[in-house]
Amino acid sequence: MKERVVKIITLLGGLYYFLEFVLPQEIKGHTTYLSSFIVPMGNILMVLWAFAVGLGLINLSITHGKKVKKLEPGWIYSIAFFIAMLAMMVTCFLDTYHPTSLVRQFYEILFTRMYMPLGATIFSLLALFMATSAYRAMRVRTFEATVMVVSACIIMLGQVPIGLWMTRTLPSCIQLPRVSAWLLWIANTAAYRAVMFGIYMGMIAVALRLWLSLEKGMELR
Amino acid sequence: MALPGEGYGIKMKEFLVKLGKIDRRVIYLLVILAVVIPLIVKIRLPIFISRETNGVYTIIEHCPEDKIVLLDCTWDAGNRGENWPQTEAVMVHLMRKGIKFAIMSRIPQGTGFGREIAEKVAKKYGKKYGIDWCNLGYLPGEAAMIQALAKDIKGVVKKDIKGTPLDSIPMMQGIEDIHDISLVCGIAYWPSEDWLRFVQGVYGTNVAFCSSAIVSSAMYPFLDSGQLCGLLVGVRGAAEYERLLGTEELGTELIVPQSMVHLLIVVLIVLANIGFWAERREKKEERRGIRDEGGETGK
Repeated sequence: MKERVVKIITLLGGLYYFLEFVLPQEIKGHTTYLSSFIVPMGNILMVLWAFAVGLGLINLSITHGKKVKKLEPGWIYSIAFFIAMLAMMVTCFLDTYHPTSLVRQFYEILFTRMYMPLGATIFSLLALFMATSAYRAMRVRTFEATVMVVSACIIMLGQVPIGLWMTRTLPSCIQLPRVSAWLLWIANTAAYRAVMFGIYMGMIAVALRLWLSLEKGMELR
Repeated sequence: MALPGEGYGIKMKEFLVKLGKIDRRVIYLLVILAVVIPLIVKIRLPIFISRETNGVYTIIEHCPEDKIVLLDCTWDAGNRGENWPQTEAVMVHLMRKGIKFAIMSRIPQGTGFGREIAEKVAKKYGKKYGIDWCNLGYLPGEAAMIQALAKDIKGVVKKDIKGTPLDSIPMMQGIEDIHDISLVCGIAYWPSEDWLRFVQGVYGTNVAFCSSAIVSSAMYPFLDSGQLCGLLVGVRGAAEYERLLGTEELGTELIVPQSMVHLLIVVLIVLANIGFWAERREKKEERRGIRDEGGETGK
């Protein structure tokens, strides 16, 4: 019964958005009224979306709570998770509902001086991995690999000022930024459009399966 | 007996093969030096203004003063390097032109970053919150939220991030739906294509994106078709925009280390291929040597 209700709601929700997008607001003088409900429907979905944030927090708390309770390997990191989560939650609540200079300072320390540098650091590690991956992977073995490596080098240098500086004495039509722009605007656009065509055809099929609840993961157990 | 110069030839071959086997720790060190040295030694390189950056600049230049611009600041600390200078450059341009803008985000952290940059720029240009800019806060819901926002802004966003009703905010007086927004600027690692589907495609509103460089190649088809009026590509886009504005801020500063790292990666690729081909040639010669020996003994 529960499963049937979920499937019906999924079907009706998808049908509403599809019809609202496709049908005009008026057909032969009669208003379809579908667009009148777009704002309340949007608000409902926004609330459900926000629920996902809370659900994520609950799931994380359950997972880490079990780890701490059973003293599994790495339980100390779960304690760190709870401390960080509670510190940020309490600070943000106080900053919103009872802001004082001390609370603001604490918020600045947690968000600007801890969270931001940590987040930036994790992402910046990619630069080192990209350099070593490019060094190891970009070997010219075949004709296609040659084309890929040459175009990668042109784009990498053309996208930054050093490419312009290196080719500044050449005619403007063959300077690296212009060649790189041609590759992106013409060659890349054509190839990407072709790939996306195929991807979107697949996405239509997947979307239909999700809408009609034909996907295996849609079953409630 | 070894011929004169043969030792040198062998050493050269070994050196060339080693070029393809550089320790990754050496590569990490080179990357770190390529980033740090240009930050210490102030170098300035010529900047080429691309068509896509010009597109964003032109559209903001022609934004009417009676409408607002919507900035979708959906980025977090991980994308700070690319999206912060882009956001700052766009906000400087909007404040200089006296065009009002509203910040929103589809992730919780985004509004904090948008607010921080807006406060910094507003202080410099004497702009006030509520009159020249406002913060609509975190708006979840992706496509559904965008469709609803386009129909009725105040129906979706009742209050700003400070809890002030939108009707009480001076700049939001008379701003009802998407027709009161002259430009939607999506600033994110990968700006949402839902703005193109449900805003540009349905209402014809101008949309510009400020994305990270690595995903920018996915945006060019939209630029080519005219769905996107402009695109800022990573730090390069921010540096080009600052050049158009006549300023030298974070974008101009960060483009130089990026240039050096790109050059380093190209050099490493060339060295790797030299080493690869040297190794391949050596293996071929070894096989030929073994075959020749086998042929001789066979005689």
